[in-house]
Amino acid sequence: MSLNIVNTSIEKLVQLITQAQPGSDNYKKYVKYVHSTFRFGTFGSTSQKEVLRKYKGISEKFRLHAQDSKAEFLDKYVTSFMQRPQIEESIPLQTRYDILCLILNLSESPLRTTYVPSKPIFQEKPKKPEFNVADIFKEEPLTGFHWTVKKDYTEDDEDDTDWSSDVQEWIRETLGNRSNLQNNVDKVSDPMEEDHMTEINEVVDQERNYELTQALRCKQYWRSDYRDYSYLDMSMFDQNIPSTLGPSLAKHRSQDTRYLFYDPTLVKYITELDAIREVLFMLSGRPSFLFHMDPDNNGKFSVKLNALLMHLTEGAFKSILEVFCNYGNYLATLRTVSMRICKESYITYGQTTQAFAASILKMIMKFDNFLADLESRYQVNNSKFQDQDTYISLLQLQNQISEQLYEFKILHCFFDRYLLHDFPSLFTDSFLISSPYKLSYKILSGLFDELVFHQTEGNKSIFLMLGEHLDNSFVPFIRMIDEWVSTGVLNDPANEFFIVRTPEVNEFSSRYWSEMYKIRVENSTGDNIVKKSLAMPAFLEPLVGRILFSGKAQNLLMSLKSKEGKKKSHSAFQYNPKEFKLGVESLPLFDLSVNNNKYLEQEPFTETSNHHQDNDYEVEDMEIDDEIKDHETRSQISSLDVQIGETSFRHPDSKKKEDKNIDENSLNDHNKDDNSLLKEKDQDADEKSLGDKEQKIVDESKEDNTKGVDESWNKLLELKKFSDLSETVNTFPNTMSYLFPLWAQPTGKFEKIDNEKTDSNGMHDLILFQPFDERFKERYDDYLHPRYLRIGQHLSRALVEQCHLWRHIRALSGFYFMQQGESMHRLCDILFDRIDKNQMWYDTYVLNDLFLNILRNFKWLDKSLVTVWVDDKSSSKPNVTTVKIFEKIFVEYHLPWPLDNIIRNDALKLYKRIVVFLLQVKRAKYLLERISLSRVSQGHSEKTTAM
Amino acid sequence: MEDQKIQEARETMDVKHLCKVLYEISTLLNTGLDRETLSLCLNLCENGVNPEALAAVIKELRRESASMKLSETNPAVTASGSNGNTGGGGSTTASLSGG
Repeated sequence: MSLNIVNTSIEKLVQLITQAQPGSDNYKKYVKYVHSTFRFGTFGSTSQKEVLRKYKGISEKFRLHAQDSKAEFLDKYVTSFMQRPQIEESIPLQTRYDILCLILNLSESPLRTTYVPSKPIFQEKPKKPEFNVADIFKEEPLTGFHWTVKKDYTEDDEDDTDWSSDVQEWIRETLGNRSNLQNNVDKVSDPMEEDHMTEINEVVDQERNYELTQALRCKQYWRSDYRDYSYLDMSMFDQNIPSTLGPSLAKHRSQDTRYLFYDPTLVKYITELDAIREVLFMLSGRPSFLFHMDPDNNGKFSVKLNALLMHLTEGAFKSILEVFCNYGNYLATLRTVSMRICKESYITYGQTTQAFAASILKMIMKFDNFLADLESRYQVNNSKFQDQDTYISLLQLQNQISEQLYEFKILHCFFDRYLLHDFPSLFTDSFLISSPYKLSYKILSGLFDELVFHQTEGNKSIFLMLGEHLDNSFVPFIRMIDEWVSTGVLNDPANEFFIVRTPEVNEFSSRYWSEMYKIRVENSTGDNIVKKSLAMPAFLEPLVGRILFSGKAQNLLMSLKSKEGKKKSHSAFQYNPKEFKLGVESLPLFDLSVNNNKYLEQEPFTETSNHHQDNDYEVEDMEIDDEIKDHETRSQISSLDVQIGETSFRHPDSKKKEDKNIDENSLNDHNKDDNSLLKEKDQDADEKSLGDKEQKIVDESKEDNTKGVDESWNKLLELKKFSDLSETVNTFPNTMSYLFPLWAQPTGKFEKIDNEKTDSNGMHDLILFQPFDERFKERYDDYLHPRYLRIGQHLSRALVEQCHLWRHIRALSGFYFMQQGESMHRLCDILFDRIDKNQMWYDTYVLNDLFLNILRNFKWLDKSLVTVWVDDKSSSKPNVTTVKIFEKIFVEYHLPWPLDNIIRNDALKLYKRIVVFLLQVKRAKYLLERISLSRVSQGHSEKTTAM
Repeated sequence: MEDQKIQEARETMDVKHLCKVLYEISTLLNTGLDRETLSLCLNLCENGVNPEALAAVIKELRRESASMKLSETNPAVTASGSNGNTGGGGSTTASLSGG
């Protein structure tokens, strides 16, 4: 039996080692050789001590060559192998020594090889459960009065006898697994046996989970003990095989004397999928095994070649990683700066800067999501062995996300170009912050310029990306502009709007209009000269005048109302956002999802399109129809109808009606007034009549108007365009929620781009085709101009009706320019007569009395507004006969507020000079006439005398 | 019955564990033996084969197998190589060749 086993084993051994076919000549020869060697070979017997001594020697050798781990493993294995208890059917002791001896004889240069334990053989035994049910019962048995079984029970005896065991059973069931464990423990009472059972269980468990844990462990290349030496033992290992290029070169280097200390075994090799994941981690801003993140340098990354790819050289791998690393650094910088800006209060950097930062953060968050999806896609693809639709390749990844990475590069360049130059401390910890308005203007102007540039370049994706950022960054400005234009309120908490209020100017002063609200002025020093320049986003320059005027007019009207003793209220004016075709929601130029469709339908590209300003009536009609169809409730329709019927510049029919009214009114005016000035001002009269009508509407529907303004405010809050930042708002609720009150309905950028690609190609082409600056100007003109006209009309009406502008102008012209011929002629006659008669006239009281007596006849002149005085402080007696004396007389017409804002002091000074000049001319004429008359009369008398 | 099964499992596991340890030692010392060869060697040793003889046989078989493979791939080189080997070889090689 034994001989048969030996023969079979020899045959198998020969077959395994030589790979010879059984039955072949070689095979037979080998088998014969083995048999003869075993039979006739002379070999010594195995000395047990010698074997152990040799093993100790090898262990020593390992330690001497700094391979301590190998030595430890060897010691542990040999000890375990030899000290394993000999039980029946186990390996006999002598055989153990023999096999160890065999291994010793076959061992070849063990120092050169590397060793990785194939699987953990020795593990710490799990601790025994400290307590179990048996322990409890052992310590506290169910004894005592309560547990005694009464013998005299008749019927329930059987149940009660088992009761204690039932309790035990119940407890076991309740404790579940622990009771099962107890059963096992009961069976194996011997501690040695118990240990062995646990060991067997361990081995069984290990067998079961071995492959799984091993597979997981093998993939954990970031572990310090990770080594994959399979490539070193591979028979295919060849420098000519590209897939083993890395290790081949490493081996080649290790044989080179220049790399004497180069240990190729220390190099870790990872798969390309792992490298891709590392790159994706880095791009998401997380430190990874291949990229080192420097927290002191804004979280910038640098390539750290902790592992290599088998099929790439070190240099090639590094260069690929560095490309990603550069983009990762752009992203890290943008992420850090945006986060810092968003975390701060909006007062620190301004709302625009925060809006821009939030927009960037939104983009980064979307990109992070995209990267996460990408990673899962790669993993899913990797798990499929067939039908892979994604190539696992770093270059493929680079190609796949290059467009998005380039967008971030452009944004980083933008930061670098527009912000970093002026604010170098923005990227460091010490924030020396420039004024929020400077940052805002830089961002907005910069984005605008870049947009124009990229559109000219034809870079579609960058153009759209920057456009979205401009839209988002412009939100605070749009809010401020809309609020300013519609209500006159300057709500600028971060001091960044281009309109500023001068606090020292009194509300009812003559400087109110010119000084109270102004365009922001910036002082800049160059060549030791302080230059003043207007500070505003450059692209808003064509609109700024109208924006400023609209708000100022609103404020003037409010002040006028408050001056009249009425309660100051924003809703006192007829600002109704429904009047206007385009609301504030039309202003974002790149959000194609909402409302812009309506706008784009009417873009001036088609033949049928109308220019808003040229065809007000038609467009307004269309707008009203649209509104009726789309938005209005029945009640709103009726109120709107009232407006359509009554309001002047709405409907052509109403226009005709009003034209008639205008004519009648102007006729009445003509009858009332003997002056012809009004005749020349038909247009103003039109406005007056229209104003009357509108004033009626205002009075009748004051509540409606209030509602209208409220609705406008609500409408502003309900902007759907500026959504998509809800994630950012959630991240920074304290700062961002104020900035973007009701952002909702997040839609991803990437999703949006997809939608755009599929749904709105036409619109896209339009956006790309039309020069952006033109488009911007058109859109903002269409929004602003109707409001500007409307508010202008309100102001004009208020000035004409409430402040009697024309009456005062007439008074001024009559008074200063002596256009009231008869009256002024009389004044001059009286004055000159007094001069000639040497009567007292060069006196403030006398002159006042004189003027007021004459002006009494002027119906259109309020005498209380006129003052005349002599400004002569010289002590010497003046020569009252010369015409120059009139220069000392000052005639003042006190224009009431707010008209003194329109006809200002400098103009009145000129008027005063004119009136003095006219007096001088009249005096001169008077004197000349007198001389000529006296000559004539003298000649006449001479003639008569001669006769 | 159940105890017997446990006992059998225990013995099997015990041998298996020893084999694993043995394989680790073999790998650590770079013997080039795979699990199957190692178990055959263990079997032979158990049946009284001298381990040194077995080691010599394995080495010789390996060497012979390698030279055979070489001669198959490049007959010209191996012819001279094998001749040289035979000429200067030890007694074991001579006996195998002569066999």
